[in-house]
Amino acid sequence: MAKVTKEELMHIANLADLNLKEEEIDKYLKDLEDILEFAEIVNKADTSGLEETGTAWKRQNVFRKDEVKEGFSKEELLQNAPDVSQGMFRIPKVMG
Amino acid sequence: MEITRLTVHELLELLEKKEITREQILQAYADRIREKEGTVKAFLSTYLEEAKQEEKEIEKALDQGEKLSKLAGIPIGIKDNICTKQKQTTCASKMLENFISPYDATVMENINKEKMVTIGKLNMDEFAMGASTEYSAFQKTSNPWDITRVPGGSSGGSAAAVAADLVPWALGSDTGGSIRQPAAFCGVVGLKPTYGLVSRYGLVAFASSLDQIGPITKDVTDCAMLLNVIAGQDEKDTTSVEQEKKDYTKALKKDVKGLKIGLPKEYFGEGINKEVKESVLAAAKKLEEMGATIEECSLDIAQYALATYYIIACAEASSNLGRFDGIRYRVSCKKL
Repeated sequence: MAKVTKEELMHIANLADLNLKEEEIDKYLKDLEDILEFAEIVNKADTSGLEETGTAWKRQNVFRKDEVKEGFSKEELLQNAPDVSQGMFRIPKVMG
Repeated sequence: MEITRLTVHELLELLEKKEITREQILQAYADRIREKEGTVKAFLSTYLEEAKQEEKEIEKALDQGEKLSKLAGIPIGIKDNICTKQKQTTCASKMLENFISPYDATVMENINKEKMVTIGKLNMDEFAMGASTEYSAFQKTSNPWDITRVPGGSSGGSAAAVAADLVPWALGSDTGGSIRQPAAFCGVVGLKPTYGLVSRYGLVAFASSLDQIGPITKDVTDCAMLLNVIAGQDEKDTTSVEQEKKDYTKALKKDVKGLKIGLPKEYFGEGINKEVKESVLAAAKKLEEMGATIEECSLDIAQYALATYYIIACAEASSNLGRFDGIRYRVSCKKL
Protein backbone atom coordinates (compact mmCIF):
# COMPACT_ATOMS: atom_id res chain seq x y z
CA MET A 1 0.00 0.00 0.00
CA ALA A 2 1.46 3.31 -1.12
CA LYS A 3 1.69 5.89 1.60
CA VAL A 4 1.53 9.63 1.21
CA THR A 5 2.47 11.70 4.23
CA LYS A 6 0.57 14.76 5.32
CA GLU A 7 3.69 16.85 4.71
CA GLU A 8 3.90 15.65 1.10
CA LEU A 9 0.22 16.43 0.57
CA MET A 10 0.55 19.94 2.01
CA HIS A 11 3.63 20.56 -0.16
CA ILE A 12 1.74 19.53 -3.34
CA ALA A 13 -1.29 21.58 -2.30
CA ASN A 14 0.96 24.58 -1.77
CA LEU A 15 2.49 24.18 -5.25
CA ALA A 16 -1.03 24.02 -6.73
CA ASP A 17 -2.09 27.08 -4.73
CA LEU A 18 -4.82 25.11 -2.96
CA ASN A 19 -5.90 26.08 0.52
CA LEU A 20 -6.93 22.72 1.94
CA LYS A 21 -9.34 22.74 4.83
CA GLU A 22 -8.45 20.52 7.77
CA GLU A 23 -11.40 18.20 7.07
CA GLU A 24 -10.34 17.77 3.41
CA ILE A 25 -6.88 16.44 4.23
CA ASP A 26 -7.87 12.81 4.85
CA LYS A 27 -9.95 12.68 1.67
CA TYR A 28 -7.13 14.05 -0.47
CA LEU A 29 -4.63 11.70 1.17
CA LYS A 30 -6.82 8.75 0.21
CA ASP A 31 -7.31 10.03 -3.37
CA LEU A 32 -3.55 10.36 -3.85
CA GLU A 33 -2.92 6.94 -2.37
CA ASP A 34 -5.50 5.43 -4.74
CA ILE A 35 -3.69 6.89 -7.75
CA LEU A 36 -0.34 5.57 -6.48
CA GLU A 37 -1.91 2.18 -6.01
CA PHE A 38 -3.09 2.25 -9.64
CA ALA A 39 0.49 3.03 -10.66
CA GLU A 40 1.67 0.01 -8.66
CA ILE A 41 -0.79 -2.24 -10.51
CA VAL A 42 0.45 -0.98 -13.90
CA ASN A 43 4.06 -1.41 -12.76
CA LYS A 44 3.40 -5.15 -12.37
CA ALA A 45 2.75 -5.54 -16.11
CA ASP A 46 5.55 -7.31 -17.97
CA THR A 47 6.44 -5.03 -20.88
CA SER A 48 9.76 -6.64 -21.85
CA GLY A 49 10.01 -7.09 -25.60
CA LEU A 50 7.15 -4.70 -26.28
CA GLU A 51 7.64 -1.75 -28.58
CA GLU A 52 6.87 1.66 -27.09
CA THR A 53 3.54 2.90 -28.40
CA GLY A 54 2.64 6.59 -28.38
CA THR A 55 -0.43 6.31 -30.56
CA ALA A 56 -2.13 3.40 -32.24
CA TRP A 57 -1.84 5.10 -35.65
CA LYS A 58 1.87 6.03 -35.52
CA ARG A 59 1.21 9.56 -36.74
CA GLN A 60 3.74 12.16 -35.77
CA ASN A 61 4.35 15.81 -36.55
CA VAL A 62 1.07 16.48 -38.31
CA PHE A 63 1.31 19.86 -39.97
CA ARG A 64 -0.98 21.88 -42.17
CA LYS A 65 -0.06 24.48 -44.76
CA ASP A 66 0.72 27.84 -43.19
CA GLU A 67 -1.96 29.82 -44.97
CA VAL A 68 -3.75 32.99 -43.95
CA LYS A 69 -7.39 32.16 -43.26
CA GLU A 70 -10.33 34.00 -41.84
CA GLY A 71 -10.32 33.58 -38.04
CA PHE A 72 -12.65 34.68 -35.28
CA SER A 73 -13.52 38.32 -34.71
CA LYS A 74 -12.49 40.01 -31.48
CA GLU A 75 -16.16 40.22 -30.48
CA GLU A 76 -16.65 36.46 -30.93
CA LEU A 77 -13.57 35.64 -28.88
CA LEU A 78 -14.58 37.97 -26.06
CA GLN A 79 -18.27 37.05 -26.01
CA ASN A 80 -17.84 34.62 -23.10
CA ALA A 81 -15.37 36.66 -21.09
CA PRO A 82 -16.44 37.52 -17.53
CA ASP A 83 -15.02 41.01 -17.82
CA VAL A 84 -13.86 43.04 -20.82
CA SER A 85 -12.07 46.37 -21.02
CA GLN A 86 -11.01 48.13 -24.25
CA GLY A 87 -11.30 44.92 -26.26
CA MET A 88 -9.23 42.89 -23.81
CA PHE A 89 -9.88 40.34 -21.07
CA ARG A 90 -9.89 42.12 -17.71
CA ILE A 91 -8.94 39.82 -14.83
CA PRO A 92 -8.38 40.21 -11.12
CA LYS A 93 -4.81 40.79 -10.00
CA VAL A 94 -3.10 37.40 -9.69
CA MET A 95 0.45 38.36 -8.69
CA GLY A 96 1.33 39.82 -5.32
CA MET B 1 -48.49 4.64 -36.32
CA GLU B 2 -46.44 6.37 -33.67
CA ILE B 3 -43.81 8.40 -35.49
CA THR B 4 -41.48 8.69 -32.49
CA ARG B 5 -41.22 4.90 -32.12
CA LEU B 6 -39.67 4.56 -35.59
CA THR B 7 -35.98 4.33 -36.46
CA VAL B 8 -34.48 6.94 -38.77
CA HIS B 9 -34.24 4.50 -41.68
CA GLU B 10 -37.95 3.73 -41.24
CA LEU B 11 -38.73 7.46 -41.21
CA LEU B 12 -36.72 7.89 -44.43
CA GLU B 13 -38.69 5.10 -46.12
CA LEU B 14 -41.98 6.77 -45.19
CA LEU B 15 -40.69 10.14 -46.39
CA GLU B 16 -39.64 8.53 -49.66
CA LYS B 17 -43.14 7.07 -50.11
CA LYS B 18 -44.60 10.46 -49.14
CA GLU B 19 -46.60 8.85 -46.34
CA ILE B 20 -45.37 11.42 -43.81
CA THR B 21 -43.87 14.89 -43.96
CA ARG B 22 -40.83 16.39 -42.23
CA GLU B 23 -43.18 18.77 -40.47
CA GLN B 24 -45.14 15.85 -38.99
CA ILE B 25 -41.93 14.23 -37.78
CA LEU B 26 -40.77 17.39 -36.04
CA GLN B 27 -44.22 17.99 -34.54
CA ALA B 28 -44.38 14.41 -33.25
CA TYR B 29 -41.08 14.90 -31.39
CA ALA B 30 -42.15 18.31 -30.07
CA ASP B 31 -45.35 16.73 -28.69
CA ARG B 32 -43.48 13.79 -27.24
CA ILE B 33 -40.97 16.09 -25.50
CA ARG B 34 -43.80 18.19 -24.07
CA GLU B 35 -45.45 15.04 -22.73
CA LYS B 36 -42.45 13.10 -21.34
CA GLU B 37 -39.51 15.43 -20.74
CA GLY B 38 -40.83 16.47 -17.33
CA THR B 39 -40.39 12.85 -16.20
CA VAL B 40 -37.19 11.92 -18.04
CA LYS B 41 -35.28 15.25 -17.71
CA ALA B 42 -32.93 14.40 -20.56
CA PHE B 43 -32.53 17.92 -21.99
CA LEU B 44 -30.54 20.88 -20.70
CA SER B 45 -31.98 23.06 -23.48
CA THR B 46 -34.43 22.61 -26.36
CA TYR B 47 -34.60 24.48 -29.65
CA LEU B 48 -38.00 23.46 -31.02
CA GLU B 49 -38.97 26.88 -32.42
CA GLU B 50 -35.61 27.22 -34.18
CA ALA B 51 -36.02 23.67 -35.49
CA LYS B 52 -39.45 24.53 -36.95
CA GLN B 53 -37.91 27.53 -38.69
CA GLU B 54 -35.12 25.37 -40.12
CA GLU B 55 -37.68 22.83 -41.28
CA LYS B 56 -39.64 25.54 -43.14
CA GLU B 57 -36.46 26.66 -44.88
CA ILE B 58 -35.75 23.07 -45.90
CA GLU B 59 -39.24 22.76 -47.45
CA LYS B 60 -38.72 26.05 -49.26
CA ALA B 61 -35.39 24.88 -50.67
CA LEU B 62 -36.92 21.58 -51.79
CA ASP B 63 -39.85 23.42 -53.41
CA GLN B 64 -37.36 25.46 -55.36
CA GLY B 65 -35.84 22.26 -56.69
CA GLU B 66 -32.71 22.30 -54.55
CA LYS B 67 -31.13 18.90 -54.03
CA LEU B 68 -30.71 18.17 -50.32
CA SER B 69 -29.42 15.22 -48.31
CA LYS B 70 -32.01 12.54 -47.59
CA LEU B 71 -31.39 13.26 -43.89
CA ALA B 72 -32.60 16.87 -44.28
CA GLY B 73 -35.12 17.73 -41.58
CA ILE B 74 -34.37 14.67 -39.42
CA PRO B 75 -34.14 15.78 -35.75
CA ILE B 76 -31.13 14.98 -33.56
CA GLY B 77 -30.14 15.54 -29.92
CA ILE B 78 -26.58 16.54 -28.99
CA LYS B 79 -24.69 15.90 -25.76
CA ASP B 80 -24.03 19.24 -24.06
CA ASN B 81 -20.22 18.97 -24.28
CA ILE B 82 -20.24 19.26 -28.09
CA CYS B 83 -19.92 22.89 -29.20
CA THR B 84 -22.88 24.30 -31.09
CA LYS B 85 -22.80 27.81 -32.51
CA GLN B 86 -25.67 29.94 -31.20
CA LYS B 87 -26.83 27.16 -28.87
CA GLN B 88 -25.62 26.70 -25.31
CA THR B 89 -22.84 24.26 -24.39
CA THR B 90 -22.72 23.89 -20.61
CA CYS B 91 -21.01 20.50 -20.05
CA ALA B 92 -23.66 20.31 -17.28
CA SER B 93 -21.43 22.64 -15.25
CA LYS B 94 -22.16 25.97 -13.59
CA MET B 95 -18.75 27.07 -14.84
CA LEU B 96 -20.14 27.12 -18.39
CA GLU B 97 -23.76 27.93 -17.50
CA ASN B 98 -23.94 30.83 -19.98
CA PHE B 99 -21.35 29.67 -22.47
CA ILE B 100 -22.22 30.09 -26.15
CA SER B 101 -19.54 28.71 -28.45
CA PRO B 102 -18.41 31.04 -31.24
CA TYR B 103 -17.98 28.02 -33.52
CA ASP B 104 -19.49 24.64 -34.36
CA ALA B 105 -17.70 21.38 -33.58
CA THR B 106 -16.64 19.57 -36.77
CA VAL B 107 -19.30 16.90 -36.15
CA MET B 108 -21.89 19.70 -35.99
CA GLU B 109 -20.65 21.10 -39.31
CA ASN B 110 -21.16 17.62 -40.77
CA ILE B 111 -24.65 17.36 -39.26
CA ASN B 112 -25.58 20.85 -40.48
CA LYS B 113 -24.31 19.99 -43.97
CA GLU B 114 -26.88 17.18 -44.02
CA LYS B 115 -29.48 19.75 -42.91
CA MET B 116 -30.42 17.69 -39.87
CA VAL B 117 -32.08 19.79 -37.16
CA THR B 118 -30.71 19.96 -33.62
CA ILE B 119 -33.73 19.97 -31.31
CA GLY B 120 -31.86 20.04 -28.01
CA LYS B 121 -28.71 19.69 -25.94
CA LEU B 122 -28.62 16.69 -23.64
CA ASN B 123 -27.75 16.18 -20.00
CA MET B 124 -24.57 14.47 -18.80
CA ASP B 125 -22.31 14.10 -15.79
CA GLU B 126 -20.42 17.37 -15.30
CA PHE B 127 -17.57 17.56 -17.84
CA ALA B 128 -18.39 13.91 -18.72
CA MET B 129 -16.93 12.71 -15.41
CA GLY B 130 -19.29 10.13 -14.04
CA ALA B 131 -21.23 7.04 -15.00
CA SER B 132 -24.80 7.78 -13.88
CA THR B 133 -25.76 11.36 -14.95
CA GLU B 134 -26.35 12.05 -11.23
CA TYR B 135 -23.38 14.41 -11.28
CA SER B 136 -24.89 17.01 -13.59
CA ALA B 137 -24.88 20.43 -11.89
CA PHE B 138 -28.43 21.03 -13.14
CA GLN B 139 -30.61 17.92 -12.94
CA LYS B 140 -30.70 14.14 -12.67
CA THR B 141 -31.92 12.25 -15.74
CA SER B 142 -34.16 9.21 -15.18
CA ASN B 143 -33.90 5.85 -16.89
CA PRO B 144 -37.06 5.76 -19.06
CA TRP B 145 -37.56 2.03 -18.39
CA ASP B 146 -37.74 2.63 -14.62
CA ILE B 147 -37.60 6.23 -13.50
CA THR B 148 -36.30 5.26 -10.05
CA ARG B 149 -33.06 4.11 -11.71
CA VAL B 150 -30.17 5.95 -13.36
CA PRO B 151 -29.72 5.99 -17.16
CA GLY B 152 -25.96 5.42 -16.82
CA GLY B 153 -23.48 8.02 -17.96
CA SER B 154 -21.89 10.20 -18.73
CA SER B 155 -23.99 10.41 -21.94
CA GLY B 156 -27.11 9.55 -19.88
CA GLY B 157 -29.21 12.35 -21.38
CA SER B 158 -28.47 11.13 -24.90
CA ALA B 159 -29.23 7.47 -24.11
CA ALA B 160 -32.41 8.29 -22.13
CA ALA B 161 -33.68 10.67 -24.84
CA VAL B 162 -33.31 7.97 -27.51
CA ALA B 163 -34.86 5.28 -25.30
CA ALA B 164 -37.81 7.54 -24.38
CA ASP B 165 -38.39 8.46 -28.06
CA LEU B 166 -37.64 12.14 -27.38
CA VAL B 167 -35.16 12.19 -30.28
CA PRO B 168 -34.74 9.63 -33.10
CA TRP B 169 -31.00 9.55 -32.46
CA ALA B 170 -28.31 11.46 -30.62
CA LEU B 171 -24.59 12.10 -30.29
CA GLY B 172 -22.71 11.24 -27.12
CA SER B 173 -19.04 11.15 -26.18
CA ASP B 174 -17.05 8.26 -24.74
CA THR B 175 -13.79 8.46 -22.80
CA GLY B 176 -14.02 5.38 -20.57
CA GLY B 177 -17.45 3.95 -21.44
CA SER B 178 -19.59 7.10 -21.50
CA ILE B 179 -21.53 6.08 -24.65
CA ARG B 180 -21.49 2.30 -24.34
CA GLN B 181 -22.50 2.03 -20.69
CA PRO B 182 -25.57 4.38 -20.77
CA ALA B 183 -26.64 2.81 -24.10
CA ALA B 184 -26.58 -0.56 -22.32
CA PHE B 185 -28.48 0.79 -19.29
CA CYS B 186 -31.19 2.27 -21.56
CA GLY B 187 -31.44 -0.61 -24.06
CA VAL B 188 -30.31 1.36 -27.12
CA VAL B 189 -27.35 1.08 -29.51
CA GLY B 190 -24.18 3.03 -28.65
CA LEU B 191 -20.82 3.00 -30.40
CA LYS B 192 -17.45 4.38 -29.38
CA PRO B 193 -15.69 4.77 -32.73
CA THR B 194 -12.01 3.82 -32.99
CA TYR B 195 -9.88 6.72 -31.72
CA GLY B 196 -9.07 8.98 -34.66
CA LEU B 197 -12.10 8.04 -36.76
CA VAL B 198 -14.18 11.07 -35.67
CA SER B 199 -12.82 14.60 -35.21
CA ARG B 200 -12.72 15.85 -31.61
CA TYR B 201 -12.60 19.51 -32.68
CA GLY B 202 -15.26 21.32 -30.65
CA LEU B 203 -15.70 18.51 -28.11
CA VAL B 204 -14.91 20.02 -24.70
CA ALA B 205 -11.88 17.94 -23.76
CA PHE B 206 -11.85 15.58 -20.75
CA ALA B 207 -9.03 13.11 -21.49
CA SER B 208 -7.84 14.02 -24.97
CA SER B 209 -6.10 10.76 -25.82
CA LEU B 210 -9.26 8.75 -25.05
CA ASP B 211 -12.22 11.03 -25.99
CA GLN B 212 -14.33 10.13 -29.03
CA ILE B 213 -17.74 11.34 -30.21
CA GLY B 214 -20.14 8.61 -31.30
CA PRO B 215 -23.76 7.74 -32.16
CA ILE B 216 -26.55 6.59 -29.84
CA THR B 217 -29.43 5.15 -31.86
CA LYS B 218 -32.44 2.84 -31.80
CA ASP B 219 -30.85 0.19 -34.04
CA VAL B 220 -27.60 -0.81 -35.73
CA THR B 221 -28.60 0.49 -39.18
CA ASP B 222 -29.19 3.98 -37.77
CA CYS B 223 -25.86 3.72 -35.95
CA ALA B 224 -24.03 3.00 -39.23
CA MET B 225 -25.88 5.86 -40.94
CA LEU B 226 -24.97 8.39 -38.24
CA LEU B 227 -21.35 7.17 -38.20
CA ASN B 228 -21.27 7.84 -41.97
CA VAL B 229 -22.13 11.47 -41.22
CA ILE B 230 -19.56 12.11 -38.45
CA ALA B 231 -16.52 10.00 -39.48
CA GLY B 232 -13.67 11.55 -41.42
CA GLN B 233 -10.30 13.24 -41.18
CA ASP B 234 -10.27 16.85 -40.04
CA GLU B 235 -7.29 19.18 -40.25
CA LYS B 236 -8.51 20.82 -37.03
CA ASP B 237 -7.87 17.57 -35.09
CA THR B 238 -4.37 16.28 -35.79
CA THR B 239 -5.19 12.93 -34.17
CA SER B 240 -7.97 12.27 -36.69
CA VAL B 241 -6.82 9.71 -39.21
CA GLU B 242 -6.61 9.88 -42.97
CA GLN B 243 -9.06 7.35 -44.28
CA GLU B 244 -11.12 6.44 -47.27
CA LYS B 245 -14.74 7.49 -46.93
CA LYS B 246 -16.62 4.30 -46.13
CA ASP B 247 -20.32 3.51 -46.16
CA TYR B 248 -20.76 1.64 -42.89
CA THR B 249 -24.29 0.50 -43.81
CA LYS B 250 -22.62 -1.71 -46.49
CA ALA B 251 -21.03 -3.70 -43.67
CA LEU B 252 -24.44 -4.70 -42.32
CA LYS B 253 -25.41 -8.20 -43.34
CA LYS B 254 -28.73 -9.87 -42.90
CA ASP B 255 -27.41 -12.57 -40.59
CA VAL B 256 -24.59 -13.57 -38.24
CA LYS B 257 -23.66 -16.88 -39.92
CA GLY B 258 -19.93 -17.49 -39.82
CA LEU B 259 -19.29 -14.68 -37.34
CA LYS B 260 -16.94 -15.66 -34.51
CA ILE B 261 -17.72 -13.98 -31.17
CA GLY B 262 -15.25 -14.10 -28.29
CA LEU B 263 -16.28 -14.06 -24.65
CA PRO B 264 -13.25 -12.80 -22.67
CA LYS B 265 -13.17 -14.96 -19.54
CA GLU B 266 -11.73 -12.10 -17.47
CA TYR B 267 -15.05 -10.26 -17.76
CA PHE B 268 -17.13 -13.14 -16.41
CA GLY B 269 -15.18 -13.66 -13.22
CA GLU B 270 -15.37 -12.09 -9.82
CA GLY B 271 -17.69 -9.12 -9.35
CA ILE B 272 -20.07 -9.65 -12.26
CA ASN B 273 -23.76 -9.18 -11.48
CA LYS B 274 -25.64 -12.49 -11.82
CA GLU B 275 -28.46 -11.00 -13.91
CA VAL B 276 -26.00 -9.30 -16.25
CA LYS B 277 -24.04 -12.52 -16.69
CA GLU B 278 -27.21 -14.49 -17.44
CA SER B 279 -28.42 -11.89 -19.95
CA VAL B 280 -25.10 -11.79 -21.80
CA LEU B 281 -24.86 -15.59 -21.93
CA ALA B 282 -28.48 -15.81 -23.11
CA ALA B 283 -27.69 -13.33 -25.90
CA ALA B 284 -24.60 -15.38 -26.82
CA LYS B 285 -26.74 -18.51 -26.98
CA LYS B 286 -29.27 -16.76 -29.22
CA LEU B 287 -26.48 -15.64 -31.57
CA GLU B 288 -25.13 -19.20 -31.61
CA GLU B 289 -28.56 -20.51 -32.61
CA MET B 290 -28.56 -17.96 -35.43
CA GLY B 291 -25.31 -19.36 -36.80
CA ALA B 292 -22.49 -17.49 -35.02
CA THR B 293 -19.62 -19.31 -33.32
CA ILE B 294 -19.12 -18.49 -29.66
CA GLU B 295 -15.66 -19.06 -28.22
CA GLU B 296 -14.17 -18.30 -24.84
CA CYS B 297 -11.04 -16.21 -25.13
CA SER B 298 -8.63 -14.44 -22.81
CA LEU B 299 -7.72 -10.76 -22.58
CA ASP B 300 -5.10 -11.02 -19.86
CA ILE B 301 -4.14 -7.34 -20.17
CA ALA B 302 -7.69 -6.42 -19.08
CA GLN B 303 -6.47 -6.52 -15.46
CA TYR B 304 -4.43 -3.37 -16.15
CA ALA B 305 -7.17 -1.47 -17.99
CA LEU B 306 -8.88 0.27 -15.08
CA ALA B 307 -5.65 1.34 -13.39
CA THR B 308 -4.22 2.62 -16.69
CA TYR B 309 -7.46 4.46 -17.42
CA TYR B 310 -7.52 6.26 -14.08
CA ILE B 311 -3.91 7.39 -14.35
CA ILE B 312 -4.30 8.72 -17.92
CA ALA B 313 -7.80 10.20 -17.50
CA CYS B 314 -7.04 12.06 -14.26
CA ALA B 315 -3.74 13.44 -15.57
CA GLU B 316 -5.23 14.67 -18.84
CA ALA B 317 -8.35 16.05 -17.13
CA SER B 318 -6.33 18.09 -14.65
CA SER B 319 -4.47 19.65 -17.56
CA ASN B 320 -7.57 20.18 -19.75
CA LEU B 321 -9.71 21.74 -17.04
CA GLY B 322 -7.09 24.34 -16.20
CA ARG B 323 -8.69 26.59 -18.83
CA PHE B 324 -11.77 27.06 -16.65
CA ASP B 325 -9.88 29.47 -14.45
CA GLY B 326 -12.55 32.14 -14.81
CA ILE B 327 -10.50 34.32 -17.15
CA ARG B 328 -11.88 33.32 -20.54
CA TYR B 329 -15.28 32.05 -19.43
CA ARG B 330 -18.01 33.56 -17.41
CA VAL B 331 -17.47 32.46 -13.84
CA SER B 332 -14.78 34.42 -12.09
CA CYS B 333 -13.80 34.60 -8.44
CA LYS B 334 -13.48 38.34 -8.01
CA LYS B 335 -11.70 38.00 -4.73
CA LEU B 336 -8.58 35.92 -4.89
